[in-house]
Amino acid sequence: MFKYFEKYGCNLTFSTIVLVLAVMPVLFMLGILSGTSTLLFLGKCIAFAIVAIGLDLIWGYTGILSLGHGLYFALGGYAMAMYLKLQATGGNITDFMHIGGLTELPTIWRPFHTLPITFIMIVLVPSILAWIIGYFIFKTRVKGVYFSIISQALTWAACSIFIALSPYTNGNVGITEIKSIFGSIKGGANQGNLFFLFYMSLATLVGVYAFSRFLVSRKFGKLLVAIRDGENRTYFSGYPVSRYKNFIYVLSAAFAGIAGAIFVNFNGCITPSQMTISYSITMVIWVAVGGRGTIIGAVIGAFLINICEYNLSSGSTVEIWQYIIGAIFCLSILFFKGGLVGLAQEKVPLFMHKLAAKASKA
Amino acid sequence: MDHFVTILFNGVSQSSIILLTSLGLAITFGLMHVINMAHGEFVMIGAYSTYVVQQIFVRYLPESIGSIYYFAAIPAAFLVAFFLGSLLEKFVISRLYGREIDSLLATWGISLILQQAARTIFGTQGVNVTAPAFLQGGFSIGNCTFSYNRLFIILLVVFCMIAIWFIMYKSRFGKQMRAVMQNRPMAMCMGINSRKIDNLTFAIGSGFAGIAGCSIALLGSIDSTVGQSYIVNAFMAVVLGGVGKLIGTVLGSGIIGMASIFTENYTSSTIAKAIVLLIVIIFLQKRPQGLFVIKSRNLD
Repeated sequence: MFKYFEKYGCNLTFSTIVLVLAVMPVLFMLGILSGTSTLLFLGKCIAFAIVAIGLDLIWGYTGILSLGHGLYFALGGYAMAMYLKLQATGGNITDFMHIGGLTELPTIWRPFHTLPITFIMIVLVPSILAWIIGYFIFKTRVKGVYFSIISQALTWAACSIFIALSPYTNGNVGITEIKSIFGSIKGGANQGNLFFLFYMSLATLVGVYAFSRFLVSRKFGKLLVAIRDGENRTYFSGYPVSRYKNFIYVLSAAFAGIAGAIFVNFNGCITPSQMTISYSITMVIWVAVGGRGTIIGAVIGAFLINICEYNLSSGSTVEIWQYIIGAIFCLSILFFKGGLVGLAQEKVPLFMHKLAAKASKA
Repeated sequence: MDHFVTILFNGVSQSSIILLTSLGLAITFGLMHVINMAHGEFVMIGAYSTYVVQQIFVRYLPESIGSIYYFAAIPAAFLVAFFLGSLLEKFVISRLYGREIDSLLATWGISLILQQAARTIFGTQGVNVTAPAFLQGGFSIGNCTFSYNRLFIILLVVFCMIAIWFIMYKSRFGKQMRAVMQNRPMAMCMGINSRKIDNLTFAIGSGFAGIAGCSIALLGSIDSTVGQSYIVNAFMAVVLGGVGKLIGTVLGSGIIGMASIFTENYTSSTIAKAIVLLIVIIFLQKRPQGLFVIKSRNLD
């Protein structure tokens, strides 16, 4: 029984999380919980968990630390928001374009009239950008911290370009006043829409989790770990390392794009602040605290940190929260390299064996 | 011609600011291989120290000698950043040698804490430092105006460069430092206390960030995120120049500063910054190690 748990612990934990999330809307219908803000927040957490899984694939497994995943997250988010904004305006030119001096809809907005193309763009735009960046950077074998610094600079550059192009993107304000793809989700009358959106997002999370587990549980996953632990040795063994790295980088960018799209639906707006370096590093914090190198760790970290932030970063505790998150991050890097999951993997089997030994003695 | 001289002067000025912020990084990143994301916050600490020194002078000393506060502020900023840097090395960095990426992340956590501490102490509103009387205004030749505070920053950079050169190549400590960075076990065998050298090196790097903060205080208002706006350029300057070579950092910041001012001439400043960063990244495709490479046969 313990062996079973050791083998399938990750999947069991993930199933528990999904079950708890799935029960949430039911609790609302029964009237045990009230106010939709909790559900909106959990929806955002689902998006965060998806981007965290992507980050974990490249950082935890492959050892590429990207400090720029906020860029892909925001690109997916903007793609979704552009479609939703066009829905809200009936396909016409928006207010901020008027202010920016544009008289007709710019060409980059045109593909976002229809939903299927928007869905394609959500995945395609971040992937293509990631592929271009990855192709050039990995080809020259830039690695380790140099990659992190370059990705950070790229994100910064992209963010300032986005803000500067305000007639197209509405600058610092971002795209606001939008509904979700299933219509409005605010208020009691639209609860059905909210539930539907919530379950769709949850299904996406399950899909992303399953796909990632599928990838890392076979030879491909072993190769990623090999690249992390000894890149040159993997080269010498005859594997095209830069192609593997680029593939996993593009995949994680696509995950980030999908996550951004889900995030916009729940958040109701997207701003360039999701694109900043500090937001990108916040995502890394989730993975680091949850536990790098295990898919479940990323999910746990994303939920845990955000739930803490949600409850602590309002009112009088808002100041303390920054200290807490800084300290947690620092301590988990210093002392618990494997994060919470690493700690559990180390301690729980020991504890269980002790328990089993005691039981057999008695 | 006048226009060109003005651009050139702005370029040199911009480069000097970047260089001042990246000097400390060149020491911590280049020599110790510690990625100090909190470096920007040490710049901020230097800027706030300048503000505090000024407030003390305004309150307790007559107005006539008020403007000499700046000369007290520079060593004060250096010492505060030096002391905090030493503490940071002792409690955090010393556990992370050889783990570059982890040092990046841990210092990011520190930078969150420091930023919030600045907000708690000084409030979320930016504070302003009034430049001392002798640095206000400027002189002009023809149609070109050279402002005194920017000239002063250039002088300050030159002074810092000489100081670092002296510390590294002319002092006993510098010799020990280079020995430890080149071959730690052998240096330890020679009786050098490598822990102490590490600590001092990191503290000196942070101290120079403090001086950078002191000069940034002259240029605009100070708030808790002031360091963040300089850190990206500083990192790129170090990487472009080649990690581990101070001359590379000088050249790297010169290129980035000049290029951004020249492109700014044709577009807006944000677009210019983005373009320059892209150019640097493309350049790094050609020479992934930067301009100056330390040759080594090491693999992994």
